[in-house]
Amino acid sequence: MTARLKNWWLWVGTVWAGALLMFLWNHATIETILALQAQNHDLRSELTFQQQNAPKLERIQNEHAKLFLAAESLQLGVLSAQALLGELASRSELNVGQLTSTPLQKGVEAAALNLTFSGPPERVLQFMAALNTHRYLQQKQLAVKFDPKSGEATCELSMQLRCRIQAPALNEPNPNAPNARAAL
Amino acid sequence: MLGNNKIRIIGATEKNVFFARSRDLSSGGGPGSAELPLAEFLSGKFDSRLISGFQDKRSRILLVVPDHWIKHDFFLFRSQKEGLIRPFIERKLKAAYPNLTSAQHFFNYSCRQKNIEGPGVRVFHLSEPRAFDLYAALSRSNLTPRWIATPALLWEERLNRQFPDFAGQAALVIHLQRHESFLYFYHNGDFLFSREVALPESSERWDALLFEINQSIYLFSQKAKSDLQSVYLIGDEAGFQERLTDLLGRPVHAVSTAGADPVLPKELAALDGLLEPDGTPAPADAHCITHTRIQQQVKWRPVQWAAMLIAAILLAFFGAEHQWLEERLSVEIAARSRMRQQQPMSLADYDAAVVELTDDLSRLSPPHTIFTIVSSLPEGVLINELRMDADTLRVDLAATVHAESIDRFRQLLKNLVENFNRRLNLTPPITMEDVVFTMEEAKHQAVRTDYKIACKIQLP
Repeated sequence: MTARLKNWWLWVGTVWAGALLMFLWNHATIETILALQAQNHDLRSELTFQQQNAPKLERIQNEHAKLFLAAESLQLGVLSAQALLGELASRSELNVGQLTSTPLQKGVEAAALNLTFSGPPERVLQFMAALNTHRYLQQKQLAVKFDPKSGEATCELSMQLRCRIQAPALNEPNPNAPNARAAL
Repeated sequence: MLGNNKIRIIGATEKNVFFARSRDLSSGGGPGSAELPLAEFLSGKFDSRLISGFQDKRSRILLVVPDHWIKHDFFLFRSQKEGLIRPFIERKLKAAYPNLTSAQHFFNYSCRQKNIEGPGVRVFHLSEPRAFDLYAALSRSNLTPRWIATPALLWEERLNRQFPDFAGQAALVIHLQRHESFLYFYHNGDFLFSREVALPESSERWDALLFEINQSIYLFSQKAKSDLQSVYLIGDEAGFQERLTDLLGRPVHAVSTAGADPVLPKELAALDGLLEPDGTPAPADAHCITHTRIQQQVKWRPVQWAAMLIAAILLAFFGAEHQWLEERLSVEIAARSRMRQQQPMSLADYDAAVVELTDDLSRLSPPHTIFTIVSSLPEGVLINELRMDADTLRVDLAATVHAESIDRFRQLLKNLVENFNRRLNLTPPITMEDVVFTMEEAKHQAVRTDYKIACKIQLP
């Protein structure tokens, strides 16, 4: 009988502990729900704002997409950029000397490109202006030497290629965003 | 009194211990009943399987011991507060019975106001050493009694219930059986002593009983210093009530007993009439002894129940609340997930995109800068080398200036600096001092001199 009564206290304690734990659990759940409700409220406001300003936001999205070259991999992106540079240079009738590329860091979707080319100054400017429209190729450093005898300019251009790696099967490509296939 | 057929009875006699559920006992034994010699049970040398069927944890146990195993005392004490009475009784028992150290744990009391002695407490307690041993042995066998009583105490309770004026009388209770009779004497509701009278199977059985009754009444008068007032008869037999009424010269009240015709072991015949057909009801605490530790536990029982009930209600409430909260949580999560699907980019993402676009637009445009620099050159100045860093917005320029005179060279330099400041919006503006040139001019012709100049421009 003694043991049984002692167990009674144990049971009482257990049930009270259970009730207390349940209370604390509920309290934590309530906190979570309140936080979620606040998040959802903000999200709803954002959605309303986005619906009201959809054209502007779409323009921002499109412009922003132009800052990156959509490619399946960084190597493919570099390959596309090299092809583009070659095409632009040949279109401007420039002599392309050397084109090298270096990945910046592991995990960073960018690569450094160095291009050496030469030609008449006006064509160099034409090439640079054409290159400037491809904003995913960010021009970093430029060194130009003018030869007064030949009248030609020799340039060394350092650029940074910014890529956005996209799995083609998972995401629909943004029609406004530059992509590796289009660049090629 | 509570009707509770879960009560089990352990009956102790001088030689044996009987284990039975009340139903089994009243029907003359059953599958759960057992009988063991007291000595064997106390020594633990018995087959525990004999009482295994009796060890039902959900039942409470009433231990019935012989009348003389419990001693009745009266102590003078003025206070009626339990907190004072209990320690007083414990001290009294310790002093009065130094050999019975456990007696202070096995007692019960009731307050009394006596005419001669004055206020005090009537105490009854275990006084038989075997009773303590039996209690310990039962506890070891997980059969700790909830109540300890004697037949006299149980009959006292029964008569108090049946005859409201019994408690104020000097009374004799005759419990008549086939082979024996039990005489219980009470004074003002308190048990004084009992007698067991063996009845022969002959016509002289009534004479023997009457003789013993007369002797006992005489003893009662000496002990109680009072005359007998009432006689109660349990179990009438062949007009014995009328004969007794005539012989004693006072009315004899018949005590109604349980309707069943129980078949009890001879040793427990004193309990005959107390057992109900549907089981023995739990005795009142006032007529039993309960171990002080059990008393404490029983006292706390309502608190435990209340605590358990409240906790269970809270638990159920919190459980239901939790269920509801979980549903709310899943609704909110689903809503967030749905809105996230509707929103490919968050405003924070747009904000970051705008910042990136602004940064990109504010970056130095090399073709535009080259064009501006070239268009800023006065006639006679030719660029040799141009270095540009878009991140640091720094331009290093080297050029050749063709001038016929120093004044012309100065004028060209001045024009160059002014053009740079104006067209490139330089802040702070560069000055003539920022333009370095070499004095070792290369002379091509006698009328014109070439100057090599260099300058560093920090673009805004």
